[in-house]
Order: sequence, then structure tokens, then C-alpha cells
Amino acid sequence: MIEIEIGLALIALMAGLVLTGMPIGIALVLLSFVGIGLIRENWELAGRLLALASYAAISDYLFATIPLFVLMGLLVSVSDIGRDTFDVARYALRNLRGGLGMATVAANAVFGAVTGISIASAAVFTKVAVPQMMRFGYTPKFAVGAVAGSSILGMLIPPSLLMIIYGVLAEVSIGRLFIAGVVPGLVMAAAFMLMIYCLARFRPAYVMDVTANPPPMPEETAGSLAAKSVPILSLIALVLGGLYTGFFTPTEAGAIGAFGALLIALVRRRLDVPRFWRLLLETGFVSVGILFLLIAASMYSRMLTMAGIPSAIGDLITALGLGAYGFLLVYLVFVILLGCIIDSSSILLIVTPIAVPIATGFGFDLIHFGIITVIAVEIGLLTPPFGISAFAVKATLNDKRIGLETIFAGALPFIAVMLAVLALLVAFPGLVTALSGAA
Amino acid sequence: MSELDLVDDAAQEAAARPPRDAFGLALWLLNAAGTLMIGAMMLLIVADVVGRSFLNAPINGVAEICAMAIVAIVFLQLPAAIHAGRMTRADMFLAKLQARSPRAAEALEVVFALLTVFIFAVIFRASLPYFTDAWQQAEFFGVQGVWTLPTWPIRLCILVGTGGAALAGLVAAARSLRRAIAA
Repeated sequence: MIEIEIGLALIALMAGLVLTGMPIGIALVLLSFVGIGLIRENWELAGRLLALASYAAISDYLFATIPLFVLMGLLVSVSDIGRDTFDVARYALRNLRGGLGMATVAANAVFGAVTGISIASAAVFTKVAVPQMMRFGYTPKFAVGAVAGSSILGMLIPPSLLMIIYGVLAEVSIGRLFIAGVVPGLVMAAAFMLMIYCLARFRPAYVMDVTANPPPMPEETAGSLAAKSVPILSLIALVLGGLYTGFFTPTEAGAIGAFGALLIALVRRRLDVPRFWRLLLETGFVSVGILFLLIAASMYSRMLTMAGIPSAIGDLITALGLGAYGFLLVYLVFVILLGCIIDSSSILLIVTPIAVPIATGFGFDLIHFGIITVIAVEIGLLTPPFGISAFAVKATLNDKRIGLETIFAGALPFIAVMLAVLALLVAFPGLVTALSGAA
Repeated sequence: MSELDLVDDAAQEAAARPPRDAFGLALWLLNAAGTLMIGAMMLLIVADVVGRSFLNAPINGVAEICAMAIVAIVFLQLPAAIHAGRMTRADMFLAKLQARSPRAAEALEVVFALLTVFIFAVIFRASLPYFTDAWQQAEFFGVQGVWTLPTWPIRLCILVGTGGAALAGLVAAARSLRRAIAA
């Protein structure tokens, strides 16, 4: 019993340290060390387990996916692929009221299939879509909200950094998670577009200044449309097709995707050596942050198991008579609340090691549980005070007239839709398992 | 926030150039080596896929080599990430504290930095025997008789990375301490 008390005290301490601003990876490692040392009363062993984890936790082919998909995401962000996709979507939706807003969502969905980081989507579409929408009378609140809101598709539609992290922690196939994300991603995009359509139809003043001139018809020819859509479609076909047919492992898909994105950027002359060097360095910084967190999380989950935390919480939930769906509700609310305070990958690292054994006990399919978790975590990208996607829009926009509050307010309808889709996916697991097959 | 810096051009620009001071330069070089390995890993995997699919010539041991390389990449880049303050953290509280009492905020930074030094010193010390064993017993990985590579370079990367991370933590602690006193 004393182990559990140590474990719970340490979790409370960790919450305190993380909230006061200690780097999350450092806090996790520190408390795992202290926890194992106290529980086993053996500090030598605690140190040895840290050393073991720093090597064993990430020494796997699978982890190479992380830098590769980050590199791919950064490369597609500099090669004007986002702008082209937006142009094509705009053309396709030119006759609908609110078409630019829907085009933002559609372009984000397609772009999401070549990037695994929502922040890249938010940055790209802030540059591409916001100025267009504002020029044609869309309200700033709606324009920035649409970009921030639909950027979450970047990590829902595979490839997805969050799915890689979840897959590693829950020990489920990342390839299957990716495939499972396709249908929920499309459902989410469709729901976003429907919401925008309804707003534009029934509450037009929310979306735009109705007296402004409608945007002129975009001028596109069959040739220009093809030139704009072929590169991204071939990249998607290569990466998702390769994964779906099992021709590539996720790591290979990442390498091929990054290489393909590199070729596109080179052909379009969007890349010179200094710029490529900067992108590579940035890839390193982003991925070392995540990989170190994964090392830390493996130590932390070992500590939790030693302390018996997951089974204790499982017992507690059973004793409370919550049942499977009661547990899921409490869990999702908790994840969404955490999302207001800490960043998405850290939530997964802290919560997954505790929640997955309990979810297994309740008989949840771990792929289904993973997709639900990812969406709940992604809501945190849009919720104040700490919402990374809103921050990214703000930083990229660099316009003093549009404050963070405007972006958070504009993203609210998107959060509502995400909650609705989340409920839908909980109720109909078939939407998740349709392509990936049941476990 | 490490994720947020992605959109900060100035920070990327600064990170791309080697710094002037010796310590910063050493960390920058380690970071650059890790960065180049990411590019090399991509090319290696692409070469394997192309070789295997079209030329009937797969490359042996790509999966094992990448598994090792990823450890090296993380530990080569870790010191630079700490030095540049790029570790993921929730800094809302610190930002508020900074506005109210810069001295208290810097003092808290000193504590965090010293704890960073502590944990990396622990991992360094505990990793040392793994390196000496790998070195003395000439441990290798791979398939005997087909291809083998020694494991000590990876163990060395862990030592260099954790040692460098501890030093970067010390430098950060000193920096914050000076600011706390000056504030």
C-alpha cells in the first residue's frame, strides 16, 4: 500500500513542478528516479534503470518515424503545397457561400495527409488563407478561427505525430492507427464544412460582412489545377498507399515521404542549401524534444507500474461502479482539461501509461481508444489559456489588431464540432475500425 | 515551447549559424552531427526501399542501424536543445511570475536547471559501465558473419549527450543566477 502512496504523492509533486514551468521531460525523469529509489529502497538500481531506459526506450526502428515525418512536414510547408491545395479547394467550392472557409477546411484535410504536425498546418494556412478571407469580407474572428480549428486535421489525418506517440506508449501498430485515422479525419472535415455551411447560411453576419463584394471567380484551367494538385496527390498516394497495402513500414513511409517532399521543394526551387540546413536543424530540435519525452515517459510508466498506480485507479473506478463508459467520460474530461494547461504530446505521455491498462481491462479496442484519445488531446490545441494552434496562428499572423482572445473565440464552434464528432466515434466504433479491421 | 518555435524565423536563423563561444560551438557541432544523421538515415532507408523493390538488392541491417542511429541522434542533440532552452515546458506560470517578480522567476529557473544537472549526472554515472563493457568486450550488433558494427560508439554518444546536457544545465543555472542577482 505504501508504494501507491509514494506514487500518488509523486504524481501530485510532478503536477506542481510541471505547472510551475519545469521542463516536462526533466520532471518525469526526476520523479521516476525518486519514485523507484523510494519504492525499492535502492538508489543504485534506480540510476541503473534510468541508464537502461535512455538506451532501450528509443532504440527501435519505429522511432526513426518521428524525425522523418517532422522533416516531411517542414519540407511540404516551404514548398507552396499548402497554397496550391487551397487554390484547388477554392475553385471547387467557388459557388458556395462561405466557400473560402470551407476551402480552408478542405485544404487542411488534404494537407493533413502529408503532414503530421498541426502547428505546421496552422502556420501554412495562416499565411495562405487568412489574408484571402479577410480581403473578401470575412470577419477576422471567423477567418483565424477557421484556420486554427481546421489545423487539428493535421494530426488527425495520418501521418500524425500524436498517433506515433500513442502507438509507442500503448504498444499498438502505428500503421494500423494511421489507417484507422482516415475515416474519423474525413468525418471531422465534413462536419467542420457542414458547420461553416450552416453558419454562412443562417448566421451570415458571423462569417462575413454581407455587404462586401463576393470574391471573384478564381481563374483556373484544367492544366493549372492539375499542376497544383498532382504533387500533393502523388505524395499522399505514395505514403498512405504504401502504408495501406503494407508495402512500406511506417518508418519507410516517413523516409519516402520526406524524400518526395524534398524532391518537390527542389523542383520548385523553394529550397537552397542554407534553407535546407535550417529545416534539418529545426527537425532535430522538434524531434529531440519528443524523443526525450518518450525516454522520460518510459521511465515514468515503469515507476507507475512498480507503484501499482494503474491497477489501483482501475480498482477505484470499478469500486465507484463507473463502468466502461463512465470511465471513458471521466478520462476524456480529464484529458480535455489537461489540454488547457499543457501541450499535446506531454498529455499523452502522462496519461496513456495509466489509462491504457485500465481501458484494456474494460475491453476497449486500443486502436479505437487511441483515436478517441488523439481527438480529445487535440481539443487542447484550441483551448485557452494554453492552445498551441492558436499561438501558432497568432505568431504567424503577426498582426496586432487580432489578439489571442479573438483566435480562441473564433475556434469555439470548431471545438463544439470536435466534441460532437468525439461522441459520434465513441458511439460508433465501426467508423474507426472500418479500414483498419477490428483487433 | 519547442513546438511553437517552429514558426519563429529569427530563432531558426540564429540556430543555423555556429556560435562564437567554445562551449556553444561544441554543442552546435554535436547538434550538427545529429542533424546530418537524420538526413543520412532518410537517404539510407530510401536506398533500401529502391534497392529492394527495383534492383533486387536490399541493404542489410537498415532497421538495426536506424534503431542505433536514433539513440545517437537524440543524445547528440540533447545538450544543444537544453542550451537553447528548447525543452518542452508549460511556461504560463513562469511568464506571470517574471512580470511580477523577475528575481523569483530567475531563482526558480536556477532550481530547475540544477535538477536538470542532477538527473543527467545520475544517468551519466549509471551509463558509464555500459560504455566500458562495450569497449572492453568489443560488443557488437548485427548478424555474425554477415555484417556487424561495434556498439561502443552509441554508448559513447549517450555519455557525451548526458554529460553535455549536465554541463548545459550548469551553464543555464549560472546564467539565471546572475540574472537573479542583477534583478
